Amino acid sequence: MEGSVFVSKDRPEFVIKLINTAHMGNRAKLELREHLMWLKNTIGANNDLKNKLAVPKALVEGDDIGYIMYRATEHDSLKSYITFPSDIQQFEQWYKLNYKLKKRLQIASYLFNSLELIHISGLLFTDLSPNNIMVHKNKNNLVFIDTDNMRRKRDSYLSVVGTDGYMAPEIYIGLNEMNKKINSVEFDKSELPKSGRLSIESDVFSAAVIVFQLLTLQHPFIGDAVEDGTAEDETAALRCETDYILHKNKSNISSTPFVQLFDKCQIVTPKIRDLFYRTFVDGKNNPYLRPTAIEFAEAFDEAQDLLASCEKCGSDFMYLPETENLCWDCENRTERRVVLQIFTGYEEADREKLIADILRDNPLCGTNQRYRFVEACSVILEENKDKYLYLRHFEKTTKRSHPFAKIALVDTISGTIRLQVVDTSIIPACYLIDRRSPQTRKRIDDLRRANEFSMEQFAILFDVVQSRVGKIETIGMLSRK
Amino acid sequence: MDLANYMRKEGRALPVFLLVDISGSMRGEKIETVNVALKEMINSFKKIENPIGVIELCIITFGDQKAQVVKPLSKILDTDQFEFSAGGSTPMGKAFDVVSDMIEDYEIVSRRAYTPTIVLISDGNPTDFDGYSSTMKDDDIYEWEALKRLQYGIRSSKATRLAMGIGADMDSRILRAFINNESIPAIKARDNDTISKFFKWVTMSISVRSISVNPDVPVIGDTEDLFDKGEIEF
Repeated sequence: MEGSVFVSKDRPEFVIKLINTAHMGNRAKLELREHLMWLKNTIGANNDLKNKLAVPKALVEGDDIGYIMYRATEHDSLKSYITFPSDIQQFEQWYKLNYKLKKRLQIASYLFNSLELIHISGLLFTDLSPNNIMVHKNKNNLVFIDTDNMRRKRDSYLSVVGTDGYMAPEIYIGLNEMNKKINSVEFDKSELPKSGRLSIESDVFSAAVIVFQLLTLQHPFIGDAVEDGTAEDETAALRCETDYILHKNKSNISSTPFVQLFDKCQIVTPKIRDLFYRTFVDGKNNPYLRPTAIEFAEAFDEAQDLLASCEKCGSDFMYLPETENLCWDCENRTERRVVLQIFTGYEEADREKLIADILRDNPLCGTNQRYRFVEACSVILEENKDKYLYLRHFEKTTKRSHPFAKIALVDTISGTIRLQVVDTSIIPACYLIDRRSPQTRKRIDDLRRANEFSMEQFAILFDVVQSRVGKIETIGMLSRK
Repeated sequence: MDLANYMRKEGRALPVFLLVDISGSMRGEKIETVNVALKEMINSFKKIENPIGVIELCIITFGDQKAQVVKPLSKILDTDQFEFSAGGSTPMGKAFDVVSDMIEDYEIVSRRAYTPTIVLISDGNPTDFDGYSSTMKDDDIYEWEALKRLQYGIRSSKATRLAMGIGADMDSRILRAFINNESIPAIKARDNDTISKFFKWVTMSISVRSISVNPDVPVIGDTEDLFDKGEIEF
């Protein structure tokens, strides 16, 4: 809602928003006040949401309509992540400084996870745009501001709001009719009627546009032809009247570099690329074909586990067998086995708990025990399809357990698995951990069988494994030295 | 990353045309205030970081029987400071002709550009409007050829128009006919303070537009907060 925001002099942790009610009658003002009160009470009582949404903490009294909310002090607007110079040299400087893939994937994951929370609470965000999202400079944290347009799902037929470029196509229906009447006379943007129903699907569409821009620095409907075209062409593209720039059969292509990286899955996984395709092509005009917020969230959580760091330039890239260890930024192929950052999808508290659990138990791969990774992994994973297995290395000196490799099931039909390695230079002693239920470890005992490789051979084997997607014939046990 | 083959498209231009009255009656404090306010506006524009709409400024003065392009349309970062001195008549129509020509010219306002804004600053009535008198009918004002060109030009008809009349002599019907939009008020300055406020209003409206998601959509800053009731006329 339109209004002015003021900073409080003696309480800088708060801001005051006064809503512009000049055009409102008394009844409308009353309804607005009730709406703000509802927001304050509903979100204020929701422990999951109240730290993510800047909602009214208290309402202003008297004739003015407004409220006080907490200020997001250590945050930048998400807009600053997608605003950059157009000059080539300056752009290069800008992206080297400001484009950190890890941070952007974190933002994406947080955004969709929060949206899911909002939706399962029976609410809609409604006016999602980069201007409404504040990103913590250091931590993995987002705050949504301008929440006074939020509403219950069942109130979806109330007046429609949104920002050009982020609204779902169904929201623009009716705009075109109005435009034809306007001609050359300028009009007040707020007078434009918007039709179509705000829904969780339209929220997801907005979030998808924002995240696409965050990752590719490009609007999903603005291709080269639109960039070359008139401002009116651009307005049409912002209203989704053009095709998705990565639509297979269409010509609105974009030659911008990050879009190319996106398409080649060097900064996203194929799963993510597919979800965006479903949103912007299949689900463009049919909201029900769009993925849900949780599908996006899970894909981004998983993607963070697949991030690798380039040894030479430090850029993060998506590790996939297709691209192997190639860094998109400096083209360096990492000599050492891929170094992954995993456990980024984990909450800090869970990880500590897991480590504590491990320290209490006996390591699985002791001197008397042997096992066959493949069979053990396959069986466990087949029976627990939603799980990952992690290999962890236990350091005696620090008594801490460090992630070493992650094993995931990729083909549920043939049961083939894929290994991703963190660091092979460590001492080859490890645990086999089921991150969701320690009980499964007991079952592994029964499946142990002998097969021994040296560290050197094991390393080579990993190479082989990583260059192929899928079948692992044999894999060694790692013996404790 | 190989950016060698990558040609990033330049940001689209956000053209702003200033039509400044430098007739004799503007001499003295009025033109001095305009000079100062203009300096501040240019400085403000220069400070905008990473704009989406790249502001381009053009200054056309009208006075002393002619309309002159003292600054051709160019990027704000390439803009130096300007100072005007006043004298002569008020050939507003000539200024309208000049700006019409420029807007319709694709070499000057590229086809990629956002909708231009035209800002009119005047303290008196046009001396090149044949048959004009302060008592003439409203409808006849709209028949002024120079004005009609601006209203009906293919591209100029879409331009956003803002206007300020300085002093009691200014016929605000001229301003409103120029603006040609019921939701945008004409600003009537009775003192120098209002002149500064007007420039601030223009600066803010253009600046917000330049960084918004779609700079093609005109932004008209809230007038009721900035100006007094008597200074706004719809």
